[in-house]
Amino acid sequence: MARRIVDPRAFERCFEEHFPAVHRLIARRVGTALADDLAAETFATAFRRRHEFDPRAGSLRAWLFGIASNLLRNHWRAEQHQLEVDSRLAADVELRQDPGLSDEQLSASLVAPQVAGALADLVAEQREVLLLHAWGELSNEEISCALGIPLGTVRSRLSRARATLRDRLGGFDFDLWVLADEQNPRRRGDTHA
Amino acid sequence: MPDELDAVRTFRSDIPGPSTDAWARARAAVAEVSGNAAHRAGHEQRTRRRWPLAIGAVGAASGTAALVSVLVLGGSQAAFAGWSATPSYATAEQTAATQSSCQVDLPTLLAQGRWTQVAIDARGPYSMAVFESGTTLASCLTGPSFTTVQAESLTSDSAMVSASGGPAPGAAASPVGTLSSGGDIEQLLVSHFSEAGNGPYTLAEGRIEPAVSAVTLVLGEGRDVTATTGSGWVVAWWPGGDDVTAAEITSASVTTTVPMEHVPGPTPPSPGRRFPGTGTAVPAGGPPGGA
Repeated sequence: MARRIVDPRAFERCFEEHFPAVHRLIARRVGTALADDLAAETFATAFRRRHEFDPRAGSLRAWLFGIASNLLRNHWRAEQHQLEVDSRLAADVELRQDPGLSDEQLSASLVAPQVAGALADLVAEQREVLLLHAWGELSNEEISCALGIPLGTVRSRLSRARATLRDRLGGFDFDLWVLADEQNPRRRGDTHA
Repeated sequence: MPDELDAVRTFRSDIPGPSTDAWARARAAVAEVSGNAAHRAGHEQRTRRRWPLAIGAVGAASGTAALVSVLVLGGSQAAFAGWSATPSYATAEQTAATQSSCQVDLPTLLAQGRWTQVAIDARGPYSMAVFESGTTLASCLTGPSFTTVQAESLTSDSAMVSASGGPAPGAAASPVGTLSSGGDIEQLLVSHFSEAGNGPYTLAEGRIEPAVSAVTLVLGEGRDVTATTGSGWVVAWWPGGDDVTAAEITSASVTTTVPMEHVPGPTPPSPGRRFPGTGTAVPAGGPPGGA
């Protein structure tokens, strides 16, 4: 059952439970160095505003991600720059031949430059919603609570973001990804030139 | 079948979890906003150490409270500088230091046996500890340069909350207490004291239903003070002499605001009930006058 976090011990439990997820979400967006500061600031802000959290209005996780999202808006340029750098990196050919690489690592390496480029093309508001959904694993309703925007707005931003992604990742053969995964994992995620 | 969302999910999925330094930095940031410098320093040195529980277990005490203000040590400073309306996390060092300072003075207060700390409320550089020894409770406020101890001598043959002794040399005022209750706060004893170097302050301590997870006290002038709660106890204190008019009580995820009503008294004793029907405390050697 969701509980308020006014009591310091309740807040401690909140910190222990959610700090890793908040830190990781921030780190995936702007890097670990900046994430250390922003995650700390997120929980300092949460402590100051802990009286405002109402478990009836939404999950604690969503509330914390909302605070983190507000802080991340001040670092939009850093996020954009990192995405553009990642988009220019060629997939490491040698990486594909590394038998010690897990499937997840291989997939991430192969598709990373294209995803980075696609995310860089998104307007900030759409990217924010998409990443709360994909990385934060928040539902549309939770994103609505986290960002304080109407549910319809969440849906439209997510829909537009996914459409942009599909367009930008048009050269990526998801069917081949699946087929390759079944027949030859080392070829998984190969792109059409 | 994978889609564009799966592609995004794999992107930067190898980002590691927070380092010990990240944990420590976040703990320090929270400690800083909670106003607890000692806690902050502790976390900078030892990462990922758990915050200690603020409240320990306590047995029920029965009888009537007699207030004693006996000891004030140390010099003067600005009026409770650094005090916070929101309690912070008491570090192990803070708890140990408070126990050490207070337990030195407790035996001189009343001839009692072993004192057991049942609660500690930390606010900035100050700690308010509540101890129990048999049917006697004691409250001990420590600051950067002082320690003051108040005791509530619980007896079963009295119906009055009264002070059983005068202030020791250095103590600036006699204590006055009132009992009130409301909602899941069974009994709340609000007492007014004064510390020589900082001036008047007010202590609220009492019993709450075990399900209560948070209590915010609303003072007479509209100020809110978040109390430390746990194990059936609620403890808070604040500079000045404001009384408690209401309490915001959170229980089972539901928060209600209830007025705090003074328990009328004096009334005949009620065996087995904690702080049985009482009224305004009358300190020995003088009429109620506040801090």
